[in-house]
Amino acid sequence: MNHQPFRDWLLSEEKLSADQILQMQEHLQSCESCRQTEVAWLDVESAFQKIPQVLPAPGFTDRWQTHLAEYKEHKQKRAGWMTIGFTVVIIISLLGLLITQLWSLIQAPGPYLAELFTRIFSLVAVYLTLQDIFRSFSGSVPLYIVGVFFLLGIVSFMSVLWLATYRKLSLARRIV
Amino acid sequence: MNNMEPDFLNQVLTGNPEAFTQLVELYQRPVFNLCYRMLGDANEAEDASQETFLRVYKYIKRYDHKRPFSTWLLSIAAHHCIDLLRKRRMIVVSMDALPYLDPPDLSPGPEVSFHMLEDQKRVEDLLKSLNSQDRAAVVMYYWYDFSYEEIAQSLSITVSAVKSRLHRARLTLAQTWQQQGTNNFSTERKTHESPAF
Repeated sequence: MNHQPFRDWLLSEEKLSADQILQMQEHLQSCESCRQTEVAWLDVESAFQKIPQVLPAPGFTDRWQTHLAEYKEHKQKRAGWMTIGFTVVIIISLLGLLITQLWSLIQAPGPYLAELFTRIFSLVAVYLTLQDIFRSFSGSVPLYIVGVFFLLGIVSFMSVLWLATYRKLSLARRIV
Repeated sequence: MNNMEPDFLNQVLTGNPEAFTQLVELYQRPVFNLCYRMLGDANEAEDASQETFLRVYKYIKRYDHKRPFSTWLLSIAAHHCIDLLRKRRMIVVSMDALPYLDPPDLSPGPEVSFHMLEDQKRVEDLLKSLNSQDRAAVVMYYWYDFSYEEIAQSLSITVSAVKSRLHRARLTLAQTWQQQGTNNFSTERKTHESPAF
């Protein structure tokens, strides 16, 4: 006997046509297996409806708060270890770089010393050039214009600083 | 359960700890109940519920306002339980080997309580006959009145997959119920049988 469409119809929640209902009723009269399936499924549905909702043991929220506190502590510790680890890695890298540089310096100090003196001389040259430019500029422009220019620069810088501070302090703090 | 006030939800989203405690208070029952139906053990359900709320706390920023909050919350619980069931299957620990703890708060009277526990146990055994995804679909459909679409969204499957899973689950449940009935009947007969036979 073919049970397939009838078993599907029995367990389906789709609405059946009048013809399908008639066919199924005829089949159920002659088929013990499908009849048992129908009864069993109705029993299961009834058992689902009968059993009450299971509740957690009292104090669930308190346990949750403890759990959350543990989690936060764990997270904080992990963040601390991460920071330490990161710092250690950076220090080790810097030390490594320094040692490499020092090592090559110890091995051959000549080129490094030459480079150092070249840098120092170029800095001195830049300083002298700037001094010359300033001298010629102050000679051609009246002194009060230089003063006004300097004052405007200070006022602008202070205004920007004040605005930035005001904006930072007036922003709503985030609730932690 | 589906509608949560937007103000309250906003407070939760801004990380207000008091609002989150209220949320736990509000949803502890449905979450615990779902975990219990999925796992069949009160202690494991407690741990799973706690873990669910912890995940909600961690990932609350990812919550999509278009979805009902309860659907999102229960889908996290369901996914966590599915993961636990998969791990449990991998560890190969038989549920029967574990001590059975009675669920709390089910005591209207000794006789009624006994029948309730019996029904409870029988339903648990029935649910154990399903695989984790089918079990989640059945629990959401029959105890939480989730629509096919909501189940599909929660379990990340298609609506037609939900329908076929539910159909398959119904057949398995009906067959297991029949088997349980046969087993109970045969046990009953054996106890009353004459030792001569």
